Amino acid sequence: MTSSQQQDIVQIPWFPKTDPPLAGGARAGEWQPRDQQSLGIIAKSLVYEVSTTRVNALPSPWSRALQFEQAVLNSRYPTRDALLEELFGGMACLGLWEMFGLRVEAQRVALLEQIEVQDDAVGPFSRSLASSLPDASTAISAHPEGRNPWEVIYVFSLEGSVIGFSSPSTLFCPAVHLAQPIRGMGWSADGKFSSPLEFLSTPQRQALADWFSHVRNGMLNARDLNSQTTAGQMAGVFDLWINGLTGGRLGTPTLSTGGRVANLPANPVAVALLARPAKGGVSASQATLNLGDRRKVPLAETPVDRPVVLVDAEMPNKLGVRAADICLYKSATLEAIGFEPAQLERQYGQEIEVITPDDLFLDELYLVAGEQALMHSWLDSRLEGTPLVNGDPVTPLLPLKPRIRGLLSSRELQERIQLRVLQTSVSSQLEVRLSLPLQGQREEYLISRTYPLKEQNLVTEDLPVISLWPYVSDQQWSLFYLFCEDSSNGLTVDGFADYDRKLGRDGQQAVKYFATRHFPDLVRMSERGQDRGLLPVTPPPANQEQGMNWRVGIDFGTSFTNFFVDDGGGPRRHQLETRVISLTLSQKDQRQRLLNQYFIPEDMIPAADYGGNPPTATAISLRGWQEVLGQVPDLFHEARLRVPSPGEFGGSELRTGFKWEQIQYQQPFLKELALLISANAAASGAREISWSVSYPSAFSANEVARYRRVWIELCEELTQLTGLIHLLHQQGVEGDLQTEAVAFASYFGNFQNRQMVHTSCMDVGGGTTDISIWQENSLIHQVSIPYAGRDICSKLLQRKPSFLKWLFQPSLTADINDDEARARQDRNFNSRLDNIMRYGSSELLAGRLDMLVNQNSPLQLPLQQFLSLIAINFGGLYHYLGQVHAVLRQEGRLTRQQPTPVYLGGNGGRLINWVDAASTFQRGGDPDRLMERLQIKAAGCDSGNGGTSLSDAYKDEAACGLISNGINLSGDFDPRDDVMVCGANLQINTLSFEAKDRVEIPHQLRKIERYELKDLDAIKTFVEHYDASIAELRIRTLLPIRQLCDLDQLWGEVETEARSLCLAKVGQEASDLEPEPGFILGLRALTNCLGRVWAERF
Amino acid sequence: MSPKTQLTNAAPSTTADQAAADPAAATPAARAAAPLGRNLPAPQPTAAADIPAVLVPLSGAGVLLGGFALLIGITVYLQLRRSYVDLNRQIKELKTKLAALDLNQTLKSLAGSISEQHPLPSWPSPTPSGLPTPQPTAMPGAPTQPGLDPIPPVIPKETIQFSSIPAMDPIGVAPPTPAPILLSKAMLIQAINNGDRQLLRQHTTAQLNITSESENALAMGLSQGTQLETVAGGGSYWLAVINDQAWLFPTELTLKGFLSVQPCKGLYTYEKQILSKPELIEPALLLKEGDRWTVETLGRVAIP
Repeated sequence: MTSSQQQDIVQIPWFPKTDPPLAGGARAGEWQPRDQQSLGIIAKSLVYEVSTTRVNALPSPWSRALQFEQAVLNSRYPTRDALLEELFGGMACLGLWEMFGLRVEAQRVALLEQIEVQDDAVGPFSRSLASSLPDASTAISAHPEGRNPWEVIYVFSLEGSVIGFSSPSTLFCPAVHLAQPIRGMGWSADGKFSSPLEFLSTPQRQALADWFSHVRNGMLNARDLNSQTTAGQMAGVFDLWINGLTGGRLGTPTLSTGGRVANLPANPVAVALLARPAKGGVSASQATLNLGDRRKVPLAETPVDRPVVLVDAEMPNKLGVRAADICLYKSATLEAIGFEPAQLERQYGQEIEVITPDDLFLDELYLVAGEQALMHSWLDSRLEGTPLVNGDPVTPLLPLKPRIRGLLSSRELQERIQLRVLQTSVSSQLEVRLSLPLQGQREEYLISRTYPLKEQNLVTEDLPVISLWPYVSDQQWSLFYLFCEDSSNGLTVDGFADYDRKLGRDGQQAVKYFATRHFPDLVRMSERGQDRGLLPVTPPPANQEQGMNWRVGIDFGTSFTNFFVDDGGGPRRHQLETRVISLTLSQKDQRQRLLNQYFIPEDMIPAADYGGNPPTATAISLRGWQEVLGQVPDLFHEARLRVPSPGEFGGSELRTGFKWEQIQYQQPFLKELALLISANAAASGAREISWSVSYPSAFSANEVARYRRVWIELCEELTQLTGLIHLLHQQGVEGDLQTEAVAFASYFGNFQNRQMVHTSCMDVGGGTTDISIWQENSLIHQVSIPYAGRDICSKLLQRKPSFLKWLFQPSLTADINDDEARARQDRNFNSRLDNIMRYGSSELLAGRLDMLVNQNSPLQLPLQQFLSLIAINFGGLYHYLGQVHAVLRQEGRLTRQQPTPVYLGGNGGRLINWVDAASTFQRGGDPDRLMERLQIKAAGCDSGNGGTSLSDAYKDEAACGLISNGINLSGDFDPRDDVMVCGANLQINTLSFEAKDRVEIPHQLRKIERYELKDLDAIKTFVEHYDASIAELRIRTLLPIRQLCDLDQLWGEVETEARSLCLAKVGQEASDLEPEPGFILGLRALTNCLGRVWAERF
Repeated sequence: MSPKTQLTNAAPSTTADQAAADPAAATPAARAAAPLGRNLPAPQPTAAADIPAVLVPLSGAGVLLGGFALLIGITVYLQLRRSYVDLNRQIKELKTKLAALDLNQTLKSLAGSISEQHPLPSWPSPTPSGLPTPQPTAMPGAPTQPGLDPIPPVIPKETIQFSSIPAMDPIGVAPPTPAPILLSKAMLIQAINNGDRQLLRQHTTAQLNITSESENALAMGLSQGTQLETVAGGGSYWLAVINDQAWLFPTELTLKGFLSVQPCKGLYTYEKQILSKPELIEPALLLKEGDRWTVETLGRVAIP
């Protein structure tokens, strides 16, 4: 036996208490003889609190046990009631310990083994006890070996404190004095056991009664039953207790399966019966939180499979019931856990989550300056009164801890929370009341806190920019972003475990992005890393109706990207709503600046009333990201769509023109645009989006493949991210993409129901002109040539920025530098100019151009020359169209001998308005007749109707045509089967092409080693045709080419320029070669030279 | 010459300077005035001695002297308020830092002592009328208030009448109330450049933002005269009506934002100067049109 065990034995309170306490002898266990008088003193000083009955007998060392025995056996025993009540409490402890989350252990004490112990205390004391063993005849069970059952007893301890020992005659003998109250067992509070009745809940009473019944029956039926008399009397005591507990009602005893008193033997049975406590039935919890929204759509921290049990010491008062009757979980009552949440946690921590009001409420209330300072938040609607600090209105943050987010949604909190300003003569306070839905409670359970409104808790004067995207219900969407200013010492947003955080920084400005798969309805606010409360967001309404699936046509342009939507009502332009919401009433300019630069603007400009968006600029901003050459940046922290405007265009962070160069920026641009469109679709109830995508056939083979791959991957990624199904519409022959030429023609043929019997379509975009030629609704030729708006106009203006500034309003051109060299180096110049022209063209054509043309100024002639150059560019395109017609007629594919009417459109197509003296392209006007004449001359065909119809929806045609249905346009839409017409004598490696040849480059050709325009015959023919047409048509507003330059001198320059352009193609892989007709190459050389002459003469 | 330059030249030495040199000897008011004194040096306690330097053309004009005395009073009031704001801010910081310590009593007594010295409303509480409460003016040479150092006669060059347009009307701005006090545009410019929000807040009458129509027009580069509207919160600009002229001041945050972007919003022009941060040179002049304000003259902002 260890010394500690010896010590335990010594400390066992064998004897009744005396008052005053009488000390023993110098050596424990050694009996000291006393005279009669001394014994009388001891007898008189014995404490029996309940009884005043005189004690006549001297106690033996076993007197405590024998008193209980007497109380059981002798119904007239003076202190019987008090002793049985104490025994009742002790036995209840043995029966219920597991239900109270406690642990009982037993220690075997064999007296005969102890007497030999060489210890001053244990040995003598044991000998003393052993020498006066009580009579074995009253024992309930016989000793297994026929010896006196009192020789071996078991000492019970609970949580380290002794509570009693086994008694052969009464099963258990409670300790004289309990060192400390047993947690949750209120009947142990006075240093000894008392009746447990008033401390037990009904289920606990039943469990204890059933356990008593189990022990009783086991005792009576024990095979080692010794004294039937004692057992019978004890059974009677049990019946008495059972009657007190349940009125005699018994159920089926349920014993613990896991809990067992350690060290208790199987025999004697009377002892063994005490080994397994009652398990207790599972009672309905009255404190378990009913999870609603979070159960349906759980967050990472939502305890889906674990009940959340509220422990609040105020529960008995609030519910009007005893703590013993408040079942928290299973058999644990508020009483049983001693009001201690930690006890419940220890007891059932594996099964449940325990919360207290302190886990939900913040210690302090924090405020932000201003009234209604939170936007898209219901908080104000739940606030009664106006909180003031120093007389100024403030807005409280919701003083709840982040833990609430896993339990209640913002929508639920909106219904359950109330804030009220309490004004006293000395202070202002805010009372926050939160009603919780608890199982088994008819009414919601109210918890509350009252906070003083403290000036030092006013966390910020300048509200930070905090925005959320998209404002779409998470029933229809599954990717959300929170964007906010980052500040080391100011108010900012903090994340949760399921948030993915990204940072952006540019100079002093730092921003944060949190991506999450759930609508962030409760935003965690922090300051210097400390929680400052929650910002509840009013959740967006879910669109209950199943919306029509969307079909979206995307025309990814060089300068602008456009899209049209068919949501069941036919193709239409859909104003792009960003669905960004701001959560704080931050200063508008600051908000706009940050959102424009780092995230998504609140509103896409221009608004629908001002022209609308789309089309949106094909531009992204890399602000805050250190560009890595060739690396695809991530949304949004590295790159995001940018909507430049003349007023605020952007600087070095801006990237444009990535349709053709720096194509790594295609992916983030298209991804964001697709996400924005998808959010609009989701908000309208759509579940599926079918994307129809166009591309220019001027793309090289590699570019087409890469572009298709971008969209395939995008659809897969978007499906994962958004929760919507994204499909690439199978329509084209290029797998799933459609050529811009065919999409453009579809707009006229399908959407506008124009005849496509003998028709040419020219979509003059920013970078390419896509031509298609139709006969009897069938495509007979399509070609995409890299010559469009930028060649027609932008390059000219880039040569002379001062002319540009003269042409347009100063407000549009404020950030255009006069320096020609800098303008040439500006990689975003084209995009900048496209924006100026987008917004400035209408005003220019509405009268300004006319005024400038007729103004007597030194710039009048340069302007006329400039407009003439634009006309020459268009003339070149029409000349090439005529060349193509000639080839098609020669091939027998175009049967009629008249010129084709032309549908002209595209963003660059609108420039033809400039060359008309009326500032609006007129059917039958000079430019129209000029273009018709050029077509006829180049084609060598008969005269006829070759007039041009200008589109009424610049830039919309391809996007709309992609999703338009109508007449069955037919033909082979695969551009790979439709080789371009050369238009001039061209040499590529060893291949020679004449003007009427198709430029078919064999697949086996790997590298471009030679690329030459063999002569300028074709371009000279064009110049002749052009000048002749001007003369024949007596056009005065446009100058012939010979008046723009010295032709004899020009051809030498054109030849050199053409050579230079050809050399740029040498060395390329054949698969990377963007096809360009020989004539267009010559036209480019010509117009470059004419432009240079113009700029130099300026 | 700018108002600031003139003021500096007119104020050879200050009590605040002395206090800075010998803090122990300085009175609390002088200590409070010390930060301001760095920017706006004040003259000797005996202000009358300095009057000739400022008012040489006006010697003998007793009535005007009285008027200047009133100006001096206002100036002192503004200085004291600023020092009060500084101290109040310091107290707020102290309170935060010492929140865990049981020093509230000390703070209370400190705050009480300050309140006694400077019975001004603490931020952001304005006076009931929305106007600052004028402090008793000190005539040059007149006995100064007990416990305060003599008041420096700092007179801005461009001192004009300030009239408030109270009651932030969400639609428009109400007619001026006849409660004029004297305030200079230069003071407000200095306040915005020095980050003195208190002064701005008390002397501006509304928050403004550019209308969405103007935003769109601006984005398209088509705006002729930018229009602004009154907003209840989240305004990027302040409206101050001084001498019946409406001026548009950027908020501190807006001004700071000009460091990275100088938007062409038809409000201000930008001038490059050797500075560490953007500074307002001149507010934009506004014209009231119905319930909106239109920029009549662009303001000027200096940017680094």
